[in-house]
Amino acid sequence: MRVFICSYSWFSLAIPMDCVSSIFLYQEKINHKIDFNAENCNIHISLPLLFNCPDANVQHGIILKDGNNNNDSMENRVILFSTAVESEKDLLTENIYPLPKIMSVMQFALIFNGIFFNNRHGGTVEDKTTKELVLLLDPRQLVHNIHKELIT
Amino acid sequence: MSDYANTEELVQDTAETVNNEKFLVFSILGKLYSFPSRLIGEIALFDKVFPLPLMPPYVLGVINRYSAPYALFDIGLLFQKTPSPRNKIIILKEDIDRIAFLIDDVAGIADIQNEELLIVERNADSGDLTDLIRASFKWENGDVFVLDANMIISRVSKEIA
Repeated sequence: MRVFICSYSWFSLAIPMDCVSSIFLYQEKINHKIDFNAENCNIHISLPLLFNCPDANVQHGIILKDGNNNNDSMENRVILFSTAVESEKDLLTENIYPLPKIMSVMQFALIFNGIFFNNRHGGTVEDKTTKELVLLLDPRQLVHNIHKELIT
Repeated sequence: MSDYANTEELVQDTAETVNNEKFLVFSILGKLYSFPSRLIGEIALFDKVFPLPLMPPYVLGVINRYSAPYALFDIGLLFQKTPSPRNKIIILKEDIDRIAFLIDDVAGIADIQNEELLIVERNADSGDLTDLIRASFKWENGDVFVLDANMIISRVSKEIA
């Protein structure tokens, strides 16, 4: 699985590339966690506010693919606003762990569907001090749960 | 004759196993708690916890156990509304769930006969934390509470859902 990596204060976020249509620069302040635009039916989601990281600076907008493959239209789109997309990474699915079962009922599980520890700055696998936590975003689940009003 | 004797020994051993149980006793903020030893996968020194977003305060985050993430719970915060010192962790067996608990220190192993256990009467609707205590026993001049791991998991799940 190929992912985009965005850094937050104490974790990194992995966004599956196959869910992403395009990325654009966006550096304005966002005040709402979720915003519906009645004119174009777009949904704007501030990931820093969703994750309770209000001090994280939004740098990029990430337009998710339309489920109908109609990626030229700018209506009915979901746009994630996140900290800077810093890198891309190829993930081996066997290295991604599902959430502990107890987390399956937490709001956390409405948004993420995997956890793994990534080596930072080329540290060895055994050197825990250079491990960073990476959370795998599940964009389809996130949007689905917003539509069901499980996330507000 | 020898086959009958072997069978009798096996029944005797099984009876001894069924009539008593070993508990891992540990301390948190001056109180003694325990889990049945059969639930315990590992005891380790606390090293590092990776906080997660959107967690209740008693879920500190995840710890890295051989590259697998285990949810780390603070029983001190859950029971006594006070953070536990970050000394050691008890890691449950993976077939229960990938869960670990922060503790002060391990006090010992208690071998307790079933009749020594004081079972806690639970009211299903009480909603207080005594639901999470299955029983208690006397050990080395003190009281030890036996925590119900499955009830903790179930209770946390209900609170958060």
